[in-house]
Amino acid sequence: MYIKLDHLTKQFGDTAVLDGISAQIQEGEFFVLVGPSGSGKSTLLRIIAGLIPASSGSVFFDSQNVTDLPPKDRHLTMVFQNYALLPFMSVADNIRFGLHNLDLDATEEAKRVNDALDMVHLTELRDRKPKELSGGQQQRVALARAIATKASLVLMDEPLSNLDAQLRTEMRQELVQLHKELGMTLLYVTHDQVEAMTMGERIMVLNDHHIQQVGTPLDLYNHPANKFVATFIGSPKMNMFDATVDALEHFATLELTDANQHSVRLPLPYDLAAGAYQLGIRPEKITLSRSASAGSFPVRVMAVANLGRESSVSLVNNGHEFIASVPEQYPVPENQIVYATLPTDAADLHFFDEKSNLAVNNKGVPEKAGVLDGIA
Amino acid sequence: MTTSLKHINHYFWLTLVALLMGAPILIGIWASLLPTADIAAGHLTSTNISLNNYIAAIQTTPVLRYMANSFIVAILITAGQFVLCTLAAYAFAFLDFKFKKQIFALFLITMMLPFEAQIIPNFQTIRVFGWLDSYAGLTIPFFASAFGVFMLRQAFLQVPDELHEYSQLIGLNHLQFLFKIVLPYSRSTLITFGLYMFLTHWNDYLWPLITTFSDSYRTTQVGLKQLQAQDTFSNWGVIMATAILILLPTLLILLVGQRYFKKGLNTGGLKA
Amino acid sequence: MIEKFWHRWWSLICATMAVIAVIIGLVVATTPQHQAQASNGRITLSFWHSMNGPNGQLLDKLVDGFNKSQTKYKVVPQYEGSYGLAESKYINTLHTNVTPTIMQQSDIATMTAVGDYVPVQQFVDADHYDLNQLYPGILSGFKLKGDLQSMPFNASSSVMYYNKDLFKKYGVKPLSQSPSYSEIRAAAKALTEKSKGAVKGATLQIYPWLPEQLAANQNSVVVNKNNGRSSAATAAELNTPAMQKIFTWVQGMIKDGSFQNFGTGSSASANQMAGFLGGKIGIFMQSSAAAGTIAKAAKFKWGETFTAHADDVPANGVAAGGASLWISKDKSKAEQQGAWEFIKYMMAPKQQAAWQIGTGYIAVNKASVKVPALAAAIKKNPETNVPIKQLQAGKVNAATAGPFLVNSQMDQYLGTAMQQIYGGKDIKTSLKEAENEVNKGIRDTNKSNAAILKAVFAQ
Repeated sequence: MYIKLDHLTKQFGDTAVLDGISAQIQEGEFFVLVGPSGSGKSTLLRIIAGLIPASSGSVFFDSQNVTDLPPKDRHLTMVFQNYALLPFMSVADNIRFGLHNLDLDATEEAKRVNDALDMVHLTELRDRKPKELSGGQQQRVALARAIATKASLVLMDEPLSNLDAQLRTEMRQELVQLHKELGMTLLYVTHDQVEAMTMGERIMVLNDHHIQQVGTPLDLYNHPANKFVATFIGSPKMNMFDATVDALEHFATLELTDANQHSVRLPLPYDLAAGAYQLGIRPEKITLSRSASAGSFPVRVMAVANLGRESSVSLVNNGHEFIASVPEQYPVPENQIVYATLPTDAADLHFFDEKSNLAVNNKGVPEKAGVLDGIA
Repeated sequence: MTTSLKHINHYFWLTLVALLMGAPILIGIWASLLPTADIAAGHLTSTNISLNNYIAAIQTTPVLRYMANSFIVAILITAGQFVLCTLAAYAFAFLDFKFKKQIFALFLITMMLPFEAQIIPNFQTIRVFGWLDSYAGLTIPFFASAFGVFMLRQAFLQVPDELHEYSQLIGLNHLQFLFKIVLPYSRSTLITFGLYMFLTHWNDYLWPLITTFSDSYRTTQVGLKQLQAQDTFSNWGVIMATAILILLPTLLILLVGQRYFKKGLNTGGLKA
Repeated sequence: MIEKFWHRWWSLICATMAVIAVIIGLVVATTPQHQAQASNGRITLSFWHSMNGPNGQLLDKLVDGFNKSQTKYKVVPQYEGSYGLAESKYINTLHTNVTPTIMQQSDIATMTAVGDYVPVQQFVDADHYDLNQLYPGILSGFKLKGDLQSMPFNASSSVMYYNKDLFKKYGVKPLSQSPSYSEIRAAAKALTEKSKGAVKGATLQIYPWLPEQLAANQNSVVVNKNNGRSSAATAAELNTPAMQKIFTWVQGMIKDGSFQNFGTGSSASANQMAGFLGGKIGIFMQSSAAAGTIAKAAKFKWGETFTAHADDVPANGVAAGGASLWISKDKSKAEQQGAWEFIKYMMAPKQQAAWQIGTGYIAVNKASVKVPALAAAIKKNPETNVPIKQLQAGKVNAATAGPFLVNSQMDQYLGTAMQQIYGGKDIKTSLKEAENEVNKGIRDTNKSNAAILKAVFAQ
């Protein structure tokens, strides 16, 4: 099912929750709504479900305006954070109960229940009560219940947030796999950018009642439309430096100092008007070495987070803190001085307008492979 | 060693307190087995222990009729409250309407009003309706219970919002949501509520006392009072036997429903 | 266990509950009114009374006899608690579906003031019923302006009961037929001392009716205007020499240690009876209507005497106590006629004789003593006839007519005074205080009930 959101707004009393939301979601797409808590993403999901009326604007399913349709007539199903299972019914009954208004005959109902259970590998637990299951199993029941309806649109509201980290990673893959098999349109709400990046085919970043950016995970990562998306997507966060551009000399001057106490200067990869900017550089683009070299500047190591495969190194220079990601174990003691080198590649330098926070350079720069490593 | 001593100590005191608290009932049971003449003479024992008082109670007093009345009244009230309180509590828990808070506050205020204060207007009402000395008069004034609405609303609020949303998604209407999800979800509160209301109204005294005028409608507690002579001499043996008979359903319910009462008390739902 | 059951059946339970509720609604909305509905073509007459225990059982038996004696009416007796409780129920439910056709009540003054009855005199006249077959001394208390208002069904008088076996055991001379205060005090003291305190000689329950009778026996009224019989009483007369003598006597016995105080409250009377039946009390004063119960429960020989009289005052007699039957105005002619037929039946010699034998109330019908059963009972135990003899020996005057007082708080304040006096407070002070309070009550009542009182006493 193809979904079109047209200038949706929502106010609770005088408080605006959503403002001017317009977007299109393709049929069969795994579409993620991501944003910090309070960004209005759950509200948006509920407006699409019909559980909450929009203050203004319209929702279209295919070409039908469903804005005023009750939820049951929207032919969609939903998976909730707390699973919303009926504790007094067995697993199988819960799934069957979800088929309530589909007017199926008994054999079809039984078949769907069995198929759904099979799909989530819970056939053996069909007669258990939800409270006799683990959190992950409960969420699978909720999934099965959604699957069994064969709805062409499935909404998921933070379905994995109540699970522990390892289970969450497993379930992510299962969900992606399920979506591939069933091919329904899937709207997935999460506050977790990792979840968004690993699962979504396209992602809508919501913040401050507005859409910040819609795009594929790599779009968002490589070409963040604004400073918010730049820092929200990716972990560790993108480093932000104050930069002053001297258009004539084609340099950006940073508030970092080299060994001689001179300001660090970066050659501009493309033309920029003179003025003050925010320069975003992803941690994995900063390289560290034990010895000084051309273009490097000394930094003091504040802390090292060793993740085994890689290390996040907190650094300070001239009172500015930033992080470098090193694709190896990094046994350097605190307060050790090392040397950092900033990238010069156009694709690795993200300039944002100081006032509007909008990106000023991310047009036409080719993507590079391998960036997914940086976000896991 | 010390722990077992401690245990013995604990049990000693607990037994003592239990005996103290149970004494009235134990003495009542004992007295129900003694001939009245011996009780009247102030004897604590008798050579003539028997169940005669129970036989006399059943044969010479309308105690069975009283019990049947109490049973009917308690069941009717419980059923009536169940229906009305459930619907009202549902409205307060799940519906949005104007002045909801204010109306609920009004409900709570009536809870503060002791039943004794409502007796006179209620009496006038059923008097005008011609419901004196009838099941209608005994039960209908209790159908609306602010406490019941409050207790069930609290229980219904425990139903996760997501279940409410889910029910809308799968197209349940209000009644379906109530019956298929809310009630089963709140069943332990409902059981507690039902048992509690049954017991409360089984033990009603004041209202049946002033609105019943014949043995056809008198309930146990009022009937028991009837048996206790005022101007002449009371047949204490039979009275005790009757009291014990009346106590039986209460004990049975307490025994079976203990778990739910505890639960109800723990969640504070029954404190009011 | 419940949970499992519930889980399986909850929908059924819900549905059942809902159905029950609807059914109740329907059933209840169509609850038959308690009007005289014809059952088997009979007119049902509801009869409220205050007889319980053995007396109540006998009453039920007599009613049953009436129901079997004819086929037109069916009287349904309903015990409605004490006279006071029954009266307030009656007043609170006037003109409702439960109003009784026949009402037994002792409080003539209030019933008269409420006025919702048909005077029995009307039926007497229409039926040419011969009132001369009843004792005039008892009828007099139920007459206003010479018309009989209600039928004295269960008449009693106050008597003294004593435990003859105890007297014999401790070598105390049995009481005379009309004992004086000092005779009782001496006997009580002797009993207490000889039993080394195991027995208390006497008691006088904190029950205002008792000192009222003791005062009447000294020819002393308790309210002015000839005990409120000639016109509405305007003041109580409690702080009188007669009352003072009564309580001096009681305080004397308290000082002797031969007196048991059973306190106040609803169980005082029952406790007193239990004490007497248990052989712990030698002498007590009570309505003659208690004789039936004592006869059934006492496992010892007991005696009955006239109400005690003050030493220097000859016995004047006491008022007839008990209650009468009233016919509701709020009923159809047919029902009222049925009520009258019932009353006639209950007043017949045979029924009254059975009533006296079974309860100790006085058979109001003069011919009852000729009924073989009663005659035999009297012959076997002459004391059965003590109340009647007392009535016959008494004078018919204002004191023995008893007080006629509407809604006064006499009982409450005289009761309080008794408590205080039993507790050792000065007799005159206590009585004076009570008198003042009762006077206040009488003034208020007279003011607010002026119209009613005027109607009652209009001549």
